[in-house]
Amino acid sequence: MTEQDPYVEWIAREAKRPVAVDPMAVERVMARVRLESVPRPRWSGWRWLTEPRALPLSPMLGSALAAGLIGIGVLFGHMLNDRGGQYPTGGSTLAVPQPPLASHDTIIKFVLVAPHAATVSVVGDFNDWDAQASPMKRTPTGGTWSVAIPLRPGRHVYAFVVNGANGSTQWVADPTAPLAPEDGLGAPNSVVLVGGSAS
Amino acid sequence: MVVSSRTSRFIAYAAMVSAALLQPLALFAQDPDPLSRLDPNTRFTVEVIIDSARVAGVPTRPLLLKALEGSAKHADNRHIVAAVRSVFHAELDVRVALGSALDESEWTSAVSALQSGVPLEVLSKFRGDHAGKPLTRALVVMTDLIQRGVPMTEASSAIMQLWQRGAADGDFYGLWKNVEQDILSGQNPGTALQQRIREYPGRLTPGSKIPPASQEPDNSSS
Amino acid sequence: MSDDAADVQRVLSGDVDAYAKLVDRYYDRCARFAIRMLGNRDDAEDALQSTFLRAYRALGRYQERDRFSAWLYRILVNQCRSIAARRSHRERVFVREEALLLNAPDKRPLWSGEDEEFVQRVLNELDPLLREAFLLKYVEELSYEEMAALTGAGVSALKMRVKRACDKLRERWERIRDD
Repeated sequence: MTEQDPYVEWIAREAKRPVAVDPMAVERVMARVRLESVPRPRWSGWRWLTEPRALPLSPMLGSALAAGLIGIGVLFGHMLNDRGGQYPTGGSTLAVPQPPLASHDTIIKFVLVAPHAATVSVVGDFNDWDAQASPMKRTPTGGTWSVAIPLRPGRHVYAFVVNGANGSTQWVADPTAPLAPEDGLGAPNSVVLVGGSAS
Repeated sequence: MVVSSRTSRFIAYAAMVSAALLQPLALFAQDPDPLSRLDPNTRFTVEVIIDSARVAGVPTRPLLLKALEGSAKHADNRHIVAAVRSVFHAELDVRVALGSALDESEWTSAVSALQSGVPLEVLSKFRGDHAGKPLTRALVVMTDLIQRGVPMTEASSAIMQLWQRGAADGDFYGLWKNVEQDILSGQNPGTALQQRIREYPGRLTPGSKIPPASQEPDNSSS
Repeated sequence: MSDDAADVQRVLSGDVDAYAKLVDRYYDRCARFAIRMLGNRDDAEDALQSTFLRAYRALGRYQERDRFSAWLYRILVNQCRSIAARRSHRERVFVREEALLLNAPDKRPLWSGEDEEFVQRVLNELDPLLREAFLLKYVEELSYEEMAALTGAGVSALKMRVKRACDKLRERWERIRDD
């Protein structure tokens, strides 16, 4: 706004008041316009013609495996989680039937199999993409990481940040969840839909 | 000091204005100043784009989040700006295609659909009364299938078929789950979709991997 | 499709009278900007007539995803600038009697007169570029990007102009208050 200065706001408000206008002005414009030829469109159809976008077949699984950070177990994550028909959230995220914290929040459990990782966290729109905000805990068996987070109903985008013991960092999409499109930021994201009335 | 009538009118107005200051952008996020993570030039440009979006009446939160995502991923500043601008332009196009009576999730999933290559005229087909219909789910599934290699025309046509037949959230989810498994097992993505779409809207066939409706936990109210 | 875009399409398909709807929709707002910017009614009238005529000729170049008002304002701002340049030697003074001479429909509130003249005088004291930036941001409520697109100036320069305009207005207030 006007740098929150009340006087300047007053000037703006006063200047916004309507001015008196000659009622014949529009007709005068039209009289001149009717003497012109009809203007021609420069484009037809949609102006925004989509350029063919490169749709890479997200080789994220390949690269993650190559980095040696994620075990082959992750490929079967979705099958493990399919027991009992977990629904409707994406792949390895399990809808835990618990009373929500806020009035509409649902606790969602994020799971990733990464036996060789030193630390793992989940990062997404629900924690402002802060890699420190939601560290995941290694399960007693050692190969699986998880964290439970309350999420509002609706669509959320996220990824896992996997740190190796050698100091390497890899951003990994959830291999069992729907993919969000590539957008030039270098690392893929996943989508989770949380049920309930969205907003 | 003589106070003119203009001055007193102004003073009354000033009192009103100071009680109605604009909410700072920071209230969107937990961090009081989330954009401070960006370098000054990038921040400036992102703020200008957000200002444009606010004036244009399209959602600004997704733009802020995209900037934060770029920062978290240590993306090049130019890419961050390009990504934020891309979301803004996509939002303008979403409004052209679907109008603006969308909830937050519908906005973001529609933007993603456009960014994955779905043309405006295809997206426009979802316009109209979609109250009670799973628009977000349909768009998320469509976007994912395209990312996995299903040709755009096939993916959009299949999703539109389901949509027009009044498929529910679970139908879209079930389709996605099955196609995803098929692709991971090595099937050609387009073929996988063609085969699975034939299972709708009929009854469940024996041996189908789609979880029967009775086993789906009700996630909606708690 | 917005009303504006729909009307543009109609005009381009040959329905010239659809243009009257667009003019009607935006005339008052454009008039307000032109008067505040130029400080007198004659110059504002000239600017408005030529703006709407040029907009008509350029309709084929309007793109639906842009705001029609911002697109129109680019033309209006340029017309105001060229008229101001042509008449730079004439004194631009707002004539309050003109408001009384007009048969304006009474549902549109006329100003009280005194405040209007005061505010216009205050605006006239601003350097034209500062006045233009101030009006576009706080009266027309355009975004900085729209302002950049229609003025050709960079966003930094525009932010600076708006800030300087506010500073000058504030200084003026302090002078009045201290009198």
